[in-house]
Amino acid sequence: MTMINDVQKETKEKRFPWLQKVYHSPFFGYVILILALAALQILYMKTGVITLTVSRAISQTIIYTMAAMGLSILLGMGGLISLGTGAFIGLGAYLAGNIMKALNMPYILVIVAVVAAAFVIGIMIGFISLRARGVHLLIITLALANVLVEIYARPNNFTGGPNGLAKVPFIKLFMMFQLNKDSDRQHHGFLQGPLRGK
Amino acid sequence: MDGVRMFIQVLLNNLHTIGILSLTTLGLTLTVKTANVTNFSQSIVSTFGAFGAAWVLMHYMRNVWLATLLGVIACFIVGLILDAVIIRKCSPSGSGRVMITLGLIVLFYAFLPLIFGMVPYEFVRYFQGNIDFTMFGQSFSVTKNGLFIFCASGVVVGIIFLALYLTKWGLGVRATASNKMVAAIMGINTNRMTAISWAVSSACGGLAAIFFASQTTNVSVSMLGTVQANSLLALVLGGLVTFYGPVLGAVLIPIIVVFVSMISSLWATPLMYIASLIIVLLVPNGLFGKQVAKKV
Repeated sequence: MTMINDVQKETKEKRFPWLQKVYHSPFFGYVILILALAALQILYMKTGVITLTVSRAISQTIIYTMAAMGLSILLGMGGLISLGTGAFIGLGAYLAGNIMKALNMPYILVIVAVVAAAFVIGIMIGFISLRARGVHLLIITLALANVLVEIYARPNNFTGGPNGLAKVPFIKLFMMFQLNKDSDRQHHGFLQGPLRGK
Repeated sequence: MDGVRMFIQVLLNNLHTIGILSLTTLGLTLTVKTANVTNFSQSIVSTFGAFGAAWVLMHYMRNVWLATLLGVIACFIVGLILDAVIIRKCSPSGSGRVMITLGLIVLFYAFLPLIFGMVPYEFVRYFQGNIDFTMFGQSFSVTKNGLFIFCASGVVVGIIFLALYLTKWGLGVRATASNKMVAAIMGINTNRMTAISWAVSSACGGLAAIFFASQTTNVSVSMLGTVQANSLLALVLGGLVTFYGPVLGAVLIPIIVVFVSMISSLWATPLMYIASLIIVLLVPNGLFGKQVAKKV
């Protein structure tokens, strides 16, 4: 019986070798996920199949997943606990908003710029982690987060204080998808993160 | 001279903060040193005590002293249960226990409005009115309630320190904090020491929460968020090597806040955090700590 199964398996592999190669690729899952998300986005924007609530839930799940991935690298692999993630998410959001307001860059470039800025800030905090470990690092990241949240909450041009950053241009992605409705803007929600993150 | 007068007056206005922070920080120190866990849930557990006291005050009796006592006892029992039922079951290595305390925050945040309702409770002050006095030819004023909170906190912290250094329980706690395994080999019931430390820690937090409620005259779920963050900062600012270091750190933080508020009252809190962070980075063992050599 085992032999028959092995023969069947081999025959299948021989029949579609390229399919097997694609299927076993480490990127296969990610590609499917991206395609599924793009399909959901198109369904939401062009048809009424996906409702705003569902779309918002999916986008928030993805945002939280990204944050959790960052924490996983830090805690799971590095053994370093950070309590500043929420505030750093806020920093990225405000940076994106300010860059879009000031430079009117394409959204993809805004993302690249914000990721680069976050990378630099991460390295700076990484140097702090060389001097502090365990409880000390935990509390230092908490204090850093508090500094950032206090700055966000106070009236200033960078964050707009308690009212938030106003007059951020609408997002245009790949010259195709223009988020030009209030509901879309709300759905994207990228400026709601900072204080909620805490 | 006017600046000095203002500094002293603002410090007098914040006397209650020094007392409250000292209590919460001493509680945190006890759990960090005996159970080796940074208790992030202390503030929310303490808020439970404050809610309990306010509820008793509102529904059954008008005696604020008795309500305070009941609130502290409730926190003591909750601390004991938390250690015996949850914390002790988790492995001491890794960050599991810290994560449990973070989970407890979420649990209590959902749990407290279910029990006590969504509307914030009112609380009363222990004493009404101010005390006006003259010093160095300048007139100052301090609230009776703030002064009472400062003095009462000082007395409680003093009693706990006396117990730590003069009683058999204190000896057990210090031995457990120094080396849990060796303490157990020497015949100390380390589990009991840790449980009592958790209970005393929660009771300290509960008293601090009730004092805070008394000063602000209301009780809400998120009222102790800043106090918790400042207590944690006091831990590293004072240094975790001794029991008294973090308490001195807790005394120092409101003084730093008052000092930087002279520069900018709007940015006082962020400036305090930045100043404290710089101190911690320059002196990683804390202002009152010392380098501990590991035996190999």
